[in-house]
Amino acid sequence: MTRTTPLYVKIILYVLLIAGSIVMMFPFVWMVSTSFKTVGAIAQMPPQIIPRPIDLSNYETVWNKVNFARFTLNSFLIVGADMVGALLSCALVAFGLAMFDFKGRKLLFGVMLATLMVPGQVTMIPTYFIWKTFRALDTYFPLIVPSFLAGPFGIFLIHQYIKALPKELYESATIDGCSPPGIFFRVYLPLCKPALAALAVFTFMGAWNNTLGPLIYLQTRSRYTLPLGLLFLKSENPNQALLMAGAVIITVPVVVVYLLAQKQFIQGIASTGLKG
Amino acid sequence: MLKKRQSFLVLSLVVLLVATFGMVASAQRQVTLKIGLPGSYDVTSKDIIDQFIAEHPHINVEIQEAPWGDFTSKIATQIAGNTMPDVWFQENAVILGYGERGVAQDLAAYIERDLDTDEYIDGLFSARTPDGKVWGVPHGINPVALAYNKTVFEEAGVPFPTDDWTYADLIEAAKQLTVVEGEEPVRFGFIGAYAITNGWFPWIKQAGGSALDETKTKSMFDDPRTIAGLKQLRQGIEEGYFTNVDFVRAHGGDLEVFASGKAAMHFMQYSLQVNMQNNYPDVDWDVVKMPKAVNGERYVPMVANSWLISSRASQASKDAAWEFLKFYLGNDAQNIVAASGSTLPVKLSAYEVIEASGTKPLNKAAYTDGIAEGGVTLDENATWNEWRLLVQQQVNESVVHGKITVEEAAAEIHKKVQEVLDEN
Amino acid sequence: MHKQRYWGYVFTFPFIINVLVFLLFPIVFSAYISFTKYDLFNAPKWIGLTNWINILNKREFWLSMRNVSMFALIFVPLQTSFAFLVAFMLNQAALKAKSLFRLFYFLPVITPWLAAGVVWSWMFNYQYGVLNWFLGLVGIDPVNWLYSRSWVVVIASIALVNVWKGLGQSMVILLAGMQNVPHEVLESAQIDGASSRQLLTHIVFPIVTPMVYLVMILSTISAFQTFDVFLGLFGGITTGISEQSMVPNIMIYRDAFLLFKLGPASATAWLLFFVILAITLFQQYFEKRWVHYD
Repeated sequence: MTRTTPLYVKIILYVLLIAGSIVMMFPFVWMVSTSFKTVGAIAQMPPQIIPRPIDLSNYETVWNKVNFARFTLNSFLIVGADMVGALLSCALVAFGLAMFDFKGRKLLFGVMLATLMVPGQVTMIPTYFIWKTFRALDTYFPLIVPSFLAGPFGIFLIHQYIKALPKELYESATIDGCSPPGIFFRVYLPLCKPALAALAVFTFMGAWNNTLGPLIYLQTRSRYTLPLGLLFLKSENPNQALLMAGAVIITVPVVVVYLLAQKQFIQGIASTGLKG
Repeated sequence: MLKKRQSFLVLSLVVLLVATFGMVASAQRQVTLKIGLPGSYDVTSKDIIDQFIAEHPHINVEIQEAPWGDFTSKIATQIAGNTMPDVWFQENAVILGYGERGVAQDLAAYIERDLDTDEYIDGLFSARTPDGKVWGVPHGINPVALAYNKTVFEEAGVPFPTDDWTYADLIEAAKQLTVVEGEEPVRFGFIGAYAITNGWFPWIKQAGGSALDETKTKSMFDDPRTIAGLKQLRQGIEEGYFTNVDFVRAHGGDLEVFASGKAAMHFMQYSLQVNMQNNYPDVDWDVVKMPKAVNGERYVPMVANSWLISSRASQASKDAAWEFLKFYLGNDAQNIVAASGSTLPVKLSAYEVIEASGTKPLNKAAYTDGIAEGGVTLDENATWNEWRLLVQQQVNESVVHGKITVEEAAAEIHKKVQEVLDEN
Repeated sequence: MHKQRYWGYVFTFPFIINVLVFLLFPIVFSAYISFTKYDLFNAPKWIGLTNWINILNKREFWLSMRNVSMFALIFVPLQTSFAFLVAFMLNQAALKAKSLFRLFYFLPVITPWLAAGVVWSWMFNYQYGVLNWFLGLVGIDPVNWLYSRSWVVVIASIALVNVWKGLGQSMVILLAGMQNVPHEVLESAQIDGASSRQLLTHIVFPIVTPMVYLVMILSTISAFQTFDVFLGLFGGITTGISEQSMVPNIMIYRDAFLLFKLGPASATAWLLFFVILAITLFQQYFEKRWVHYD
């Protein structure tokens, strides 16, 4: 679509996008709106989008009663570490797979894909055994260390992105006298920003919402993460408004992270990728 | 010579002293007791555990908790990694399964040694197997009774339910209490619950049928009486004098529907009185015993949650765990349980607390006398967890959603349940 | 490709460790378990092929395979194409409020299943749901989406919700790929008189194919492993899911953690893996035909 695209096409485009947006947004909007409702208003039909009256007490209850403050801190800690680990390790491995021809490369690639296909239920219990042997139960190790070991999704994502970059990039950097690590850190890593930003967001969301891991590894209440806190809340059968308030609290940081990372998408990359 | 004897005496004295100290010390030696709690560390448990800790300073108590639904997966991984708590509670049927697998410690000897069984209701032995092993003791018993909304009855001019009602009376009253405006009912006579405890199980029993036979090895879903019971429940839902699942969801759930008068009657579990008190304190309601079955008998389904001691705990921990259970079954703790209203205690003396209670429902005897008269478990056995899922699936398909007929569902159930029973 | 072999090993080292510790061991362990009777407590007892034979004879297993295959068949093309279209539209230089739209389309990904499941199952409700209300306006009979007698309707409804939930994620990946298309190339092509359609098929699409491939593979694998969406819509394994809406991963979870039958659970997991493997290999075979790497 450019300045010369006919008006009616533009209108159709906007209409489609807006209609789609409404469908996309609706459950989210409902979630937020319900979190502000009083108990009586929850099941009203047709559903009210803007509750009358607006009740803020749910948030206060959830923040204090379920110690969400502490849980939020814990979640940020774990997730921050996860993000650093994932970006670093996935980029490294993706670079290695994309740029070098070594024995076992195809095998490793295949293994990577195979990893994705193994249902989590299968690896859950043996993994628990491993951490138990390392005496790492009730610590954050089981939740953080795996991120530093390059998960297949991240590797695949960055690998595909690197593959789409011009081949001449590597050559010209070598000619300039760069060693492979140098090329990685100085040339490719900066170029991968959009993919890295995407990976950061996905890692954040996956780690942030991860419930099963904290559930089976964390014993001490003060070490819990937010999703675990929400689960507890749910099991106490609260009214839906309270539950939704908890859900919204969990969602807010993700939205913020997404908005921040979005700027990376918009910046885009250098137009041709060939500098100097 | 003297020196030798003297030194020998001194030595013996020292040895004796050390030994005495040793004995005293080990009697008071710190033992760690890990208690697992599904659901959060709620008020009832907290009071009891706090008091236990105060009275047993040499026992070091560690609490492990997980949300109810997820407690199962968590405990599964813990059992796998041998990091489970020393004592925890789950549904009684699950405990029976544990017993079968060797996870639970047989408590028969402890009970024989430390408890006077006359002081307890029969429910104390909910987790006893036919061959005398006792895999757990009740955390509490949660029976069902017929709750009715007085305001609705008065408005409709229908006399209140009594303990002499049969299911036929229930159906009749439900029809009278249902009010239809236009196409849709705006008030139903009875909540058509379809879960095991207050749904299909009581309806099967009252018609003279059963889920399993007495030996708990044969499915009774081919018995025409079982099928007849299910059909009565389905009929109520289909013909519109029992609520349907969509209506209940739209109007906020079973309790909301009952409290707001959109349904006049409900098979309500004992524990829900706490919700009613907290959320709907002004509703005028009470309970009577579950209606009588076709043969004049009364069947009061009850769900027990039971404590178990891990068979793999150290002997010291097991003993400490039993100390805790003994305390739990003692007067103080049982009175706390009774006062909480969230579950029924098993010690008879604690029932005085319940009788003296002035909270709604006033007629709590419907629960307590109810289970004395006709308390039944849900045909629990070691594979209960598996076969009841299969039953529920088919009940959902036929009774709730009407996708298949009750006869078809029953045939499916019978085949599948028997498979499960035969496999084990 | 560069021949400094050992650099390859150096760079991929973290993943190699990952594979050995967190993949190889669990896989071998679970493979072993599939030939045993193991309830997590007592020692595993070898029973050979019994688990495998039992599962292959169970109607429930084949139904779950049928369900999940239809699910993937509906889900993958829909999600990939929708995500591509939306990404393309949002990549237009002259579009206003891009960031806003992108946020809106990403919201479902962020919405916790707790909330999404409740809302969607409500929207699908036969009597009170908003979808049937719409159909009523246009004069169509209401559909019993999640509880229809036709399993295809049930699976299609669930697939739709899954598309809704994952669209934003695929869109983001494709957008990142589309950033790669230099704007000058697009503009000069337009000046040369290319229509939007030609731009799409001859310039944008070829450059983005690696990302499209990624999205397809990931969607397929996640479709076969689907779990959360079923649980979210039906409320729970113990009460909600019938034979007609059973999928393998839920069977595995139920067998392993509710029924403590790890032998059959492991065998089912392996069967699922073989199916996914076969399909992924199939997709890889065609990769060379349509995916362009620069």
